[in-house]
Amino acid sequence: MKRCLLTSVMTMGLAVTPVFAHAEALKIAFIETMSGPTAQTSIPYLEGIRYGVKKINDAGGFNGEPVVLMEYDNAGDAATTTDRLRAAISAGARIIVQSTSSAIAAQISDYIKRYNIRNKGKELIFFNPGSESHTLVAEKCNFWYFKFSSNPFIRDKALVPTMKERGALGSAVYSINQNYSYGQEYQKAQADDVARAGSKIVGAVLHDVSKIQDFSPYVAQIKESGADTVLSGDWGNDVILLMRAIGASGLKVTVGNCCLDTTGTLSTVGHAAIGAYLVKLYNLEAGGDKGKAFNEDFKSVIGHYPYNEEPTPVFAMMLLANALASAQQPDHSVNVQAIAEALEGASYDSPIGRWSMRKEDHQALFPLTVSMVSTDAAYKWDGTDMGFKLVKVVPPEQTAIPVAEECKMERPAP
Amino acid sequence: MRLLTVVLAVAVLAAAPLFMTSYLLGVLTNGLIAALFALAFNLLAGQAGLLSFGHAAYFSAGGFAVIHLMKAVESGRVSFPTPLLPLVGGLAGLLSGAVAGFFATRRGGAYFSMVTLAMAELLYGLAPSMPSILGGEAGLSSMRMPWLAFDFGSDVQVYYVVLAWATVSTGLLYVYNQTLLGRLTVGLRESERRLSFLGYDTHLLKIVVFAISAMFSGVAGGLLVFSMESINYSTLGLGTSASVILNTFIGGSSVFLGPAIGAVFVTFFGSLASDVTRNWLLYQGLIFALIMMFWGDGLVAKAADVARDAAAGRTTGLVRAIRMLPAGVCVGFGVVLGVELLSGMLNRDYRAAVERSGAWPPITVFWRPWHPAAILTWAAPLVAVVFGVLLARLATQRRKHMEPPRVLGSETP
Amino acid sequence: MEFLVVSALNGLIYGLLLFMVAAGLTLVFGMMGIVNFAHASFYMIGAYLAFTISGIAGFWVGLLVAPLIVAVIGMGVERFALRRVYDHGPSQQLLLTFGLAFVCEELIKTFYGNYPVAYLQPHSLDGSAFTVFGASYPAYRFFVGVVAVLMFATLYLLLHGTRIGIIVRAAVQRPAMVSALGHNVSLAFLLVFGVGAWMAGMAGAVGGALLTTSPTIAAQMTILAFVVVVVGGLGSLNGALLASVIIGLLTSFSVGANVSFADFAALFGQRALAEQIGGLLSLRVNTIAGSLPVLLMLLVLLTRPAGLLGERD
Repeated sequence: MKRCLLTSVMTMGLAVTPVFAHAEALKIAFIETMSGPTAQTSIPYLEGIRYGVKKINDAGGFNGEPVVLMEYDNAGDAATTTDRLRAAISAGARIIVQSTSSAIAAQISDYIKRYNIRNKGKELIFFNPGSESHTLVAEKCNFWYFKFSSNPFIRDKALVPTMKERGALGSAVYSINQNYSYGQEYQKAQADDVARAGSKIVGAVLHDVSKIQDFSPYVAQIKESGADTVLSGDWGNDVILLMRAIGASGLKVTVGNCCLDTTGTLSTVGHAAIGAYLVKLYNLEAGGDKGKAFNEDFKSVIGHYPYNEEPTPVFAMMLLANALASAQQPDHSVNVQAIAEALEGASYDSPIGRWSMRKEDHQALFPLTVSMVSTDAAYKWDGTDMGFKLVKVVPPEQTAIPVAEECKMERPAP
Repeated sequence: MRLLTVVLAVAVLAAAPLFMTSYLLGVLTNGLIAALFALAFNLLAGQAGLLSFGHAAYFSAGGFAVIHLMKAVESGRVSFPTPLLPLVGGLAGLLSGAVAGFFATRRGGAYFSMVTLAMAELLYGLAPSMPSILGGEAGLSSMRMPWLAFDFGSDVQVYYVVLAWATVSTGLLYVYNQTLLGRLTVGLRESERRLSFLGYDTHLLKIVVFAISAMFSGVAGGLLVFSMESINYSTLGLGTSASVILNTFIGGSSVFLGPAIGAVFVTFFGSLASDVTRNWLLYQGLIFALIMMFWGDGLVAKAADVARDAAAGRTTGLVRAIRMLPAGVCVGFGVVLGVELLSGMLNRDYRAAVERSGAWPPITVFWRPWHPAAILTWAAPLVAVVFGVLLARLATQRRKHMEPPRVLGSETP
Repeated sequence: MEFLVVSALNGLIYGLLLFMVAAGLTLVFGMMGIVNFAHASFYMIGAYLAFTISGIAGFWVGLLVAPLIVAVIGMGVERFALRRVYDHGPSQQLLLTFGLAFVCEELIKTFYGNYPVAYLQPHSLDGSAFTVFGASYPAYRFFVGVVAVLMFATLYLLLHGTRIGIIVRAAVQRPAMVSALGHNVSLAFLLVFGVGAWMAGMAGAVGGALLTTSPTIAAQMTILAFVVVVVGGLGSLNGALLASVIIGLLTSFSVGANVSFADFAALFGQRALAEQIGGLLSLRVNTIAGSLPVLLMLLVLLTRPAGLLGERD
């Protein structure tokens, strides 16, 4: 009798052990532009994701196995992206991560949507910490897609009221943006938010992206309009040229922008940038002690303080970590639908506030920081004597924008 | 003989899914599309002698036409056989090519190139303002609908459709060469004035050739959209026009299949090299520049020449090519090593690591760590390049006592 | 009124900067029949070299030395690369320079990174040059205009006042004859190419601090330089000057033109119809200001291909 029991226990043990021994590792594929003309914007995301994965693995990984991060270069090209997607899928990736280019994000989102329809049971999740286009959670919203970045509407909603509070938003505002969907969204956001704040838009212009070399005509226009504030979503060469033209002309306006912190911008603009307002997902000065601890930890792993967009993928990954913790399966397999459902309800308390995922359109909700360029800042930026002095941390309730009408999400059966 | 090689090649391509991974099959699909685009481009550039710098416009016209039709089929408004979708791409290419060609072909040479460049740039500049036709930044996307027994959901089915279209189009382009129109096209390049003296309306002729070239470009664009099920207006940019130029001339525009082989080669090189290094664009540019300097007719033409000579018994070309091989390997090794080391050291990640640890960590190239402080690290690429150039000099030196004297008129033109 | 004057000044100076780049391009074409795609790369190299040198020895040293280095590079390119393909026809020359432009951009990215570098104007030129209608006009901008005018004057004097200039101009028209007369035409080609590169390098050294210094400036400048050269007439220096000023003024003033085709249609009472068709018809001029130079080039190519002051053939 005892022997029977012992044998049966041992047999059961032997039967169960193989399952434990074959715990499936979660593979995450990061497909991004690492070479080619736009490669520079991707580096912060790459470093942020690497840091995030390391933190997940330090805490034990998923299913008891370390999470595997595979990196693919799509060279910024649409056709190569599809190649890399196929390579990632055949290498066993279940979560695809991509940032920056909204065009490529849209392509991947659609590809994964079609793939998931055609391959039931082997679905993939698309984890997108950087692309801004609102369409991704509007017409293209999708149960398997998760968006972690802000967009022009969210950012402006945080920036304009804060500027108004601080008395930096004058009565006459000039709106200058780039002529493509992102800039067009910014223009609309600025119009709405400025009207709500009680000021007037005295001029609005869209210009070609990264093509205009001489912004002095635009500055002359701004002067002509009598504006005392300029709101712009420009980035890269465009914001550099705009700020320098404003500085060179001696025009006294307050600028509200999103993208003065990219590499090479502040150093090239110089002191003409002082007094400009920046809205961003993170500020090194925010979060008190928790923020400082995070900054130092990031520096010890990656080699520099988190700058630019790096905190965004980090916090997104931390949210994923919390979701993964509640999506562990008893049989230690990777159940992507369970992970997606866990992601929907997940949240993460970052040093500056709570990050959470909205169920209706899979847009993340998070706090934003508004800062001002100043020589008074605690952390100096881009090798200059200036930095971004924290003005305000705007809580998630105030930054959230309503769910888009066009989003009709089809949910799979549980 | 030739027909046999062609049949064999097609058979090998048809059997590709059996021995290629899904990833490589995807690369081959892109390669075939690029090959068709290059052949279409070469019709104008190589045969008619009209170098177009804006062929992205007609390629994209085909692509956008197909995506709109695909969306219409997907929503059920229209019924159209899925594998025939690229037909609409060809139609869009034909129409846009006819219109553009009318204006562009009024003059030849540099003016023609400038006009095509200007048209494509203008279209690209205006693209963000046409969201209803071209989609916004996120572009347009759709899904292939099933037709008859096929659901077109697998990559293998897509590959076969692309292969079929590429083969048929290539065949048509080849047959075109044998027709009167094909001969006239070559005549445009050789001597337009003589053609007009013979009574042909050269402007009309150029428009027709332009339109046909644009038509097949549109088919290629349509195939790309068929394969990727999405498109956005970045395909209108200079990058697309530049890549077809690179593909065509690396292969060589004087041999019929030169551009196609060049396109497949560059596509594979791009995919495989970008997995290994971030400097692959630089290498691609260097290869292109070197080919333009030394083998202006393109690699395929050069290889075909050497092969033909060798078959006829004149082996000097072949011998020279074989002797150049070690030189090429040396120079290639030296350049790649030098570039990788330099770019590794000037990289931000590396500089951050230096700041963090205080020392200069080694950089791994060719599976071996190289220390920046070691002399070997810098001597190796330098010596390799110098040695390679010397070898190349030796290889191309005429050893007068080994070659028979050249008699004028005895060589094939 | 102030807007008009300031815009005109801005446009003029921007146009003069374009002229500095386009002058070399048009000379090289007029002389050698080569359309040099890599010409704007000399502009970019000039800017980056000036940035590096000015970081070590100051802005003025950089301004002096950088264009000289670019000139040497230019002559090297002509001697070792372009000379090979002279006999092969215009296509191959075009393609080779295209490949070189490509390689140049990638090399810059490898050495300097794929983002802008902080090449700033010198502090001595930070103030204002003069005041116009109560507003100050930036000194550095004015300086750029002065440099461009000096360059044009020097070039003009060289070409029309010196013996070398006469030989070069003759070699442009009749290279074989000039060679038969005993002059070294290939040396003349080399020098012209070098001078063209020097001018582009100088433009980069001043322009890089006025505008931005980043890997994308070569591609942007290439289009604009082509526009200037085509509109002015391939081979004509005076034409390049005229065209570059026109393009500069056009870009400057079009920004203020908040009109669209629908407004034009309103003149005929058809505004509602135009707005209903929408799309391109409701596009505002100031939105497409960046594409206007290309549109102008297209129009010129289609109506008067020889350009404003070029030769009809």
